[in-house]
Amino acid sequence: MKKFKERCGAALLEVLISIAILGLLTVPISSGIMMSLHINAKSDDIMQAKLAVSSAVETIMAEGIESIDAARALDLPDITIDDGITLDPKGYWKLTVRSEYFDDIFVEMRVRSNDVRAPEGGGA
Amino acid sequence: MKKKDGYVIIYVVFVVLFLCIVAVGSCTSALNNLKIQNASIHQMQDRYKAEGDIEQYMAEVCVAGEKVNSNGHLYLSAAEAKGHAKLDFSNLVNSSGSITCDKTAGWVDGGIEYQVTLETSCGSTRIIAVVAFRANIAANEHTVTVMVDGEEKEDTKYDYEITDVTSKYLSYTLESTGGGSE
Repeated sequence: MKKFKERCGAALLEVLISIAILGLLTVPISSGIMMSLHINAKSDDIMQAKLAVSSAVETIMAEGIESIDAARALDLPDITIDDGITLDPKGYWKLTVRSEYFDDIFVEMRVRSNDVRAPEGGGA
Repeated sequence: MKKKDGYVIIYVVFVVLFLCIVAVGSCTSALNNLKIQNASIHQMQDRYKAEGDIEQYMAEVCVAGEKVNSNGHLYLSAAEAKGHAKLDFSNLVNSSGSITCDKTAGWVDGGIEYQVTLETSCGSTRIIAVVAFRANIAANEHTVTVMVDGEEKEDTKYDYEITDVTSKYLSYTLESTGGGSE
């Protein structure tokens, strides 16, 4: 009986300390795990945005640009073309292709005008 | 006798340590993933900058090529005029700035297509492209009056002009410092 009484006190103290430790550390650990999940989701979004920009650039290079309106009319999902699209007198278009969702994912591209492309095509 | 009970806290510490390791590991992996994505964005921008350099160069050659003419010089034959036109055009192609042209470039396809290998790099990306410029080289006939032994005689001479310059890719290699290519 005496031994049981001694052990009961020790166990209760340990359980209390354990609960305190778990309570203190659960919040940062779970927030760390949540943060990593959030970062992974953002990485996926960035990858999708990068693929969309890359695909848009390849499409523009393959098809060429007839005019500013034609460039804007291209079917480029999740992509915006910045306002500064210009045709340089030296025969190439300058434009910036940007992700709709991430402003810092963009490509400043130059592409030959259709006038100086060989008729049988052949983009990059 | 040694006391054997009262070690619950050790198990709790092990569990907490395990959870800490899991959390730190998953955070590290996620951050690495994010870093890789950011690096790949920079690589993509480098790649299209290098491609843009080549596209700009090809466009500039085409536009400048159409302004190449004999500049008032007349030649004895059409072949000579065309020869000078080709020389002028190849000089124009090889006088590039940031683009490296190979020295083995030359005229093919009956002398109407000028093939050249271009090389440029930006950041970790290097592009080697074999391109062809197709030009219409015309030798125009001119009748001029010359004095021979005090007598006026008509003679035929030629000048040249280059028109309708277009360009296309024949092959295209993309390399990165990591060793990959496509």
